[in-house]
Amino acid sequence: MNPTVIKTIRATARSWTGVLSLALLLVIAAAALAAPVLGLPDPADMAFDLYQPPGAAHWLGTDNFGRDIFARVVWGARVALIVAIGAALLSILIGSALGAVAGYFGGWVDGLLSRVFDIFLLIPTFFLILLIVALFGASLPLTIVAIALTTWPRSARLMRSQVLTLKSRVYVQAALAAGAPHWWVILRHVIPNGIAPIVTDGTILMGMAILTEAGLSFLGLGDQNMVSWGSMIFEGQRHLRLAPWMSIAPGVALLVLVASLNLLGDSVNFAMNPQLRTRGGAPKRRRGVAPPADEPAATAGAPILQVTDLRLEYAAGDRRIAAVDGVSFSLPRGGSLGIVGESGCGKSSLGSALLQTMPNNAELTGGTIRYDGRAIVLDGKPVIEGGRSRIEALRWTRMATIFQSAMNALNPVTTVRRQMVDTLRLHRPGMTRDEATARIGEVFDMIGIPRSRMNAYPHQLSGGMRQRAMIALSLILEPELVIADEPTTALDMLIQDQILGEIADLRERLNLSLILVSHDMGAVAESCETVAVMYAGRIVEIAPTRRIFDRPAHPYSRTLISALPSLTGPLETLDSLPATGSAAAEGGCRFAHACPAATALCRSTPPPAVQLGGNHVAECHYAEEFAAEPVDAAEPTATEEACA
Amino acid sequence: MSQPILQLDSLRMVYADDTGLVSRLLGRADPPVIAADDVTLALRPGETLAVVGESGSGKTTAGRIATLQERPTAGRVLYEGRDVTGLTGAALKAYRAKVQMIFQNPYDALNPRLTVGQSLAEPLTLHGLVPRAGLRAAVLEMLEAVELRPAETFADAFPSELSGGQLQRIAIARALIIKPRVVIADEPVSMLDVSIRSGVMNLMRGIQRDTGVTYLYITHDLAVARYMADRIAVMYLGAVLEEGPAETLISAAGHPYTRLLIRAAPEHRATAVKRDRIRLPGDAASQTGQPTGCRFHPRCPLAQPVCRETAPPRVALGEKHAASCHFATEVRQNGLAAATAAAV
Repeated sequence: MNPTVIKTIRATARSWTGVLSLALLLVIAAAALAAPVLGLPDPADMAFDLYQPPGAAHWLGTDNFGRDIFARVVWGARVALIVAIGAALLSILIGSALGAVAGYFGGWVDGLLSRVFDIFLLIPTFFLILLIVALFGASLPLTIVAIALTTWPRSARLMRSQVLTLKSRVYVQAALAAGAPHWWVILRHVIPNGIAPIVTDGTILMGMAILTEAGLSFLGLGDQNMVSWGSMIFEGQRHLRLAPWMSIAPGVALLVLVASLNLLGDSVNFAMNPQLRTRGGAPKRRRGVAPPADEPAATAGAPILQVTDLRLEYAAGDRRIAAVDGVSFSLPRGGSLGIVGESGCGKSSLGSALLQTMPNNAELTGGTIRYDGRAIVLDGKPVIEGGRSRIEALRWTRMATIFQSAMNALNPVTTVRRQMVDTLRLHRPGMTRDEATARIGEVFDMIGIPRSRMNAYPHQLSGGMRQRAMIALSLILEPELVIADEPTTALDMLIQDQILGEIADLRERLNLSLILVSHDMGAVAESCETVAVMYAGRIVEIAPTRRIFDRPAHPYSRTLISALPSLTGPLETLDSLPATGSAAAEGGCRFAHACPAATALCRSTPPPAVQLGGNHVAECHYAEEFAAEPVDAAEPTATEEACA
Repeated sequence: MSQPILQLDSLRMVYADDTGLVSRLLGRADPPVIAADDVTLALRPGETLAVVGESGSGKTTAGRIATLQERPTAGRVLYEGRDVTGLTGAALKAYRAKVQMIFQNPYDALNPRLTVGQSLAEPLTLHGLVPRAGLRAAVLEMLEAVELRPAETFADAFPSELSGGQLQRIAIARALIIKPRVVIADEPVSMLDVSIRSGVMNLMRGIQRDTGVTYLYITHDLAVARYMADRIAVMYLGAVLEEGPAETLISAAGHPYTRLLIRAAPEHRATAVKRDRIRLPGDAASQTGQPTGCRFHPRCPLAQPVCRETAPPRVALGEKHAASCHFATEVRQNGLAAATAAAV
């Protein structure tokens, strides 16, 4: 079976609403299916014991003709389910086909079909059905068709909006480029991927269909030859005083069936949208700790930032994922550290941990961060002093950040100037508007934005200008340390180069300390004095920049460096990690599964942090052998030695 | 010299925004976006031509037109000398069997509801190239060719179970399984991690060695272009500014823009000299409202009055090397800094 379906069913079954509604539906469906073989009294069988209250002979009593109500409720479930399934299926079939065509082809086809959807949505269901019954007489199939005819635009509109996004998906484009005709693309690639929310909505449709049929039967417009809950309630209400059970029993059955269908729809929707689960929730209150009593006063020589054994975990469902797994480093005042690594290595999580701006499902589980010698995080807990956490006092005024996406980081509905004035006045309450504007002008000059752009909204700025505005915003309070997370990734080459240049200039002029988080080895090489390479949540190698590029001691760093094509250097075949590899092994070195030089030792024992002198540390059993040879040597001899 | 297999001839692509009645009445209609202004490129059989440019340079549009996913506003696409610009129906399908595409985003390249094997078999089924019974074998052979082993396991896997590098290899396999003559690859490695990237590039080079397929390789990264391509064309604001053999273009570029791109690329090699950055006067290119004269003059450190007024000619700089700049010869000989100093 399709993995998505299995996953969805599993996730649905995990919530109690899902389990409850599924169980109820199964019981009702089983009873309805098995009605003829359950040995119930004939639901149409009239007897002389009229108006019997519920009891041992008749569990739910009898009605005005002496018919057994329990039997009638069970048989009524058949009608309800036939109507529900029939109408929902028909409605989804028509709706998703027309919706897919409208969304896929767009233009006048979409315009025309969308008007048709609107017209059908305007037709009152009951009016149409009255018309049909008047013309063709009452029968169950006609009821189903009538309900489907008034509900299909729901599915059509849903499918249309699904297709509008699906048709720009790469695999749809790829199928077209491969030469697939449109009908093939719609049936094979578009509808199967867009149907999920429509099926979810189908459970709601089923509930609606049941209620409509019950309403029709209540009005006496249902199929008179079949037992329907609606007609039972209708008959019951005339005998409400004498025999209330006559209408209560089918009424409760109706309620339970429709409620469990809606509940199921909700749980399936919830199960299919993991975002509803993980992203929701209020920010966790993190318990703080008091500063240590024996904390020494800040000294002139203290590093501006010192991180020891920092650990950060994400909660994903029931699992916990360690994104930062014991990271230590220290940054001298005025220094610059580049943190490089590939997607998922934890570099951005580390950046957010330093400022304590992690997402709500992330948590520090250990480690210490010291700023200027004073602890801001102890054992993973924020340090509170005088009722305020120390990081809050430092954030933005002394430690600022430059985000990757300026478009998302700047507020789109206020001007750049306004956002900067707000920031300034929040942190410097005494400042007047004019003083604030003057300060913004200074920063704009420094970063190369014309002052005339001050009153622009973020969307009116080009990508490069927007990123500059983001940098200006982070510098406005004259911080000492800037943490830049991929500050130039979204930008074009020439602009990236300029912005990196501007950051370098600013560092020199303002004596800024910088942490640059990036996947781009080149950008880091040119902007930072020290480089840390992260892999699977740990810094596997850290060294002065020239040293790490000339004599990398960790096989992973070596791969990263020799995998980059050079623009002006010699043209040589690039190394790469194998396309297929085993999963990371428990214990041992975390790079062993992909390492070209891994040995049995690597797979069994975690490597120590090998000190190579000159502030060069690498977590590899063979670090010394690797460091001894420059990166351009053809084959790593360490492998041979280790294997020998 | 062999005849080009695929030619783009003076392509122009303009997206006119479908403006509403009110803004049209108020005269506030957005100006049309000129995605391609004048793109002329020729691909020779078996070579790799890299098209390099920033976002908005029109490189992706050129690729989409080459595969006829979009039809140009003006200009022609020629395949083996025949005009294919207006092809439809069976003729279009036959063209697509010859000219395939690899997309940028591997994570979205495969239908999540189909197994890898089903996705790979699809082009074969569509073009009726392999009988139903032989599909599985053809799929496994292709998976071997893109180094995904064991092929059986990969054929039965769903995309969600695979890594980015593996997905892009499968996307490459899907493009190549019907043995096209030309593959248009639009930034095929830019979304992959560095350590995986080089593997995919090496794979593409190996396949070209084995099959003689022709690549049009679209990228923003000159270093990647140099690694992959025999020739490089540099695009800016919808036009080709410079074109030439890869090594020549990088060592002796004739267009200031190419020179700036080369200088802007960060370099980590020990041999690299620390570059000095120059501040460019203008900002990133805008696809609406093209400048008069040379399209690069607002950002060009070398710009002279003539650049603002007259569109530069295409200056031949050597065998197969040409640049559209009034000062191309000077820039090529003396470099950008010297040419700028001499001009001022």
